[in-house]
Amino acid sequence: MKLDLNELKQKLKEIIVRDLKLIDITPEEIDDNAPLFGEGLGLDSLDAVELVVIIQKNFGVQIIDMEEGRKAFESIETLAKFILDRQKEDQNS
Amino acid sequence: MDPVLLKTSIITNNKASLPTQISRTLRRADEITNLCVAASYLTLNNYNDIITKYSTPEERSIVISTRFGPIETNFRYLDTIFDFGESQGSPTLFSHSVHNTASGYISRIFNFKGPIYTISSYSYPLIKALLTAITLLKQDLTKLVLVIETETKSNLLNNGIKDLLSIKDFSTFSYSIAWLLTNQTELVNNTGLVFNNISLEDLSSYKPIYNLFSDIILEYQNKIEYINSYQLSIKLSKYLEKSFYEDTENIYFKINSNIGIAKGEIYKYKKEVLQ
Amino acid sequence: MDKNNFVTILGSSAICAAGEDKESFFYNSVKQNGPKNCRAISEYLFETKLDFPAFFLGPKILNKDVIRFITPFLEKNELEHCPNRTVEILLRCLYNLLIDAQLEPKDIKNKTVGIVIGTTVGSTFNNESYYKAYREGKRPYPYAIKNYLLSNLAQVIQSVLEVRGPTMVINNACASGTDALGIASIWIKSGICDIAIAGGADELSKIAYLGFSNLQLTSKYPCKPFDAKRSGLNLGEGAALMLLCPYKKSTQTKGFILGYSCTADAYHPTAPHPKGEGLKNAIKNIIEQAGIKPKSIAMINAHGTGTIVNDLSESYAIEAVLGCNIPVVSTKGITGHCLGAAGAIEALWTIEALNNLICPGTIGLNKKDPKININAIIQGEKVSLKSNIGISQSLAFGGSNSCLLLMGKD
Repeated sequence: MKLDLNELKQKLKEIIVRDLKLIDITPEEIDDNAPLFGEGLGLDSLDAVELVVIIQKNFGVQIIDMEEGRKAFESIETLAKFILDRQKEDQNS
Repeated sequence: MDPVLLKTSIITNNKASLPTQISRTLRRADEITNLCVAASYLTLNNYNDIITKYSTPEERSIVISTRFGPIETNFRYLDTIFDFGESQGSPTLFSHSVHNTASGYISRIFNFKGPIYTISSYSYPLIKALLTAITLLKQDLTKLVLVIETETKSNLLNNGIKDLLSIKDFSTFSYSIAWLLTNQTELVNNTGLVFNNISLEDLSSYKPIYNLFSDIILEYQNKIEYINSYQLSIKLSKYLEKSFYEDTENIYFKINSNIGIAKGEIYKYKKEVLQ
Repeated sequence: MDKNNFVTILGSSAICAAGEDKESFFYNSVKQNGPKNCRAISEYLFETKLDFPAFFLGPKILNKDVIRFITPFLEKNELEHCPNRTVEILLRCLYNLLIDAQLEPKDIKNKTVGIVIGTTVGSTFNNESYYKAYREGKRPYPYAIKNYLLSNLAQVIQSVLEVRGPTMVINNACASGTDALGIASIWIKSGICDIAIAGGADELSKIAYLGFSNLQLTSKYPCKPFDAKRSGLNLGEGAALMLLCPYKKSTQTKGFILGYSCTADAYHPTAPHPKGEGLKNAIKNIIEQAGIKPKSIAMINAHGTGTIVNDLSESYAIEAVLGCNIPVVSTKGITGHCLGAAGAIEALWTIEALNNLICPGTIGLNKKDPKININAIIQGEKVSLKSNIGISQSLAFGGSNSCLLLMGKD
């Protein structure tokens, strides 16, 4: 799936609200830089492993372990950049 | 004091209106969890102050009983495996496909930190849950037990059983029934029922039980309200009498109950079948 | 210590990857210097593209004696085979239990026997090919349904032994086996049954295997409980059963259950409380129930799955209640995590350890995590026990903590 950064961020927000079943927030209300876990969106460790599967399914990017995941999942911004970087890497290899 | 039934509730669809805080916690929950939490909420709601005053979280227990458990959630998990591949199965669905997920939710939402159990039996799961709850109360291992029987509709199971038995008419449906029991005088309200002397003998429970509370539930269909405990108990006892006579080989039990306002005895037992 | 509160263990049996019976299981736990039967899934179990190792039993579970023992049960229910592999494992274990307790089926036929069995996989409809066909719109032949409806483990035992009494299957995830023994001991003490058969059984299932992998709880290597390099659990399969009765002294006694407690963390759907709050309460409860002093406890058989979070939170709880001297072991290094059977297998092993007064180290534990302060015995070492009282505990998905206080025969 080839998207630019802004399109990707929008798509991620929609996917997260839909697939993690967040009920009292819309994609538009998610701030690009707000923390996804703990404060901010308040996702937990079960959401984290679910997100790994969601990313793989929708963008073909595999997150090997939660150490890698932790950094990528800091915010929508970091996640989008992580995905784009990995997609570029996978393309080049 | 001897275990007493404080209150009961029935949910027959999982769209009960719950406070936002609880709905938020249920965002990932499946149908069976929703049913159990809704029944718990209805049962505990009016008793919150008394429960907090007269018990600590460690003195509150849960026993959930079921025949088939979260069977459809298990299939939804399998769907993700078949649709997207083995490494892309949904961990959320898997974690909800284990039988004891609903009890975990109830313990978190309502702050129950005593023993929490989920049991399964094809015959009379509620009776077995009551047996466990009553022994916990009689041995003073807890002060308050929330007993729930629950089931969810499964088309696969309904069709499969029809095929297996070559019958046209069989359907399970989704419901949960909660009973709140206590052994604390302070927690008893005046319309409490006293259950004692439940003796439970399972003879040869190999015939699956088909008549799943259908009469009682249909009567209360779509009524998501508090139902007076002794009315329900009478209905349930009559149901139990009915299926008891229909499945006389399978189980016999004895319940003495003293209904607060209308004193009477609902007492059913079966004569010895085996020597 | 009020002896009338003890529950006597008249017989016990187990089968797991580390041994076909309890004697070889315990012997191997002392003698082995690494995990055995822990490898990539074999074809006779199921096909999968994932390659996490698991502990499994061989392809053939039933032998001639067990088949003879269960033939009337199969015929009565018009079955050619056991409804599933979990039932096979359970019934082999049941056969050995009767031998160990020196009982024949006719001795207990028509007696009031309580039966409480813990399982996870054993209660699920896990016939993959039936579901696949169904979702493709086909109406497959309902053998799978029949097997499913005849597979309630407690009712299977009741039917095989032709006994009367309350029966129940406990589905408390990883604590089911411990809870089954505990609830059966409560039933015994309440007098609702004369004797009880309790324990747990679980087979390795593809669904559970994939599920735990998707949750990122499994390790690509044999598990390393409490180790600095631990990276997750391995699944296993097996069963363990005990025959329980009210307190009595007899030469046949294998040991005693002195206490049992189950508490809930009320914290998270899959992770334990980080400081082990619920577990602390459960440990305190059993000590209080039995009326013993904490220092008379000689060892703890921990849940010790080898996941990062479990081992750490569990160690905090043990440290807070019992300190850092008491020897701690996890047998999952040689059995894997047998889910519903785990608690029962581990309780049985603990009785063996208490009767032999030794506690071998944890296979897989070479260098303890520096954050873990408890006295987890490392692989290759063993300690002599100063008493024959010990704890066996389990922590379940969903936040249950179950503890048994056990004592050897004398």
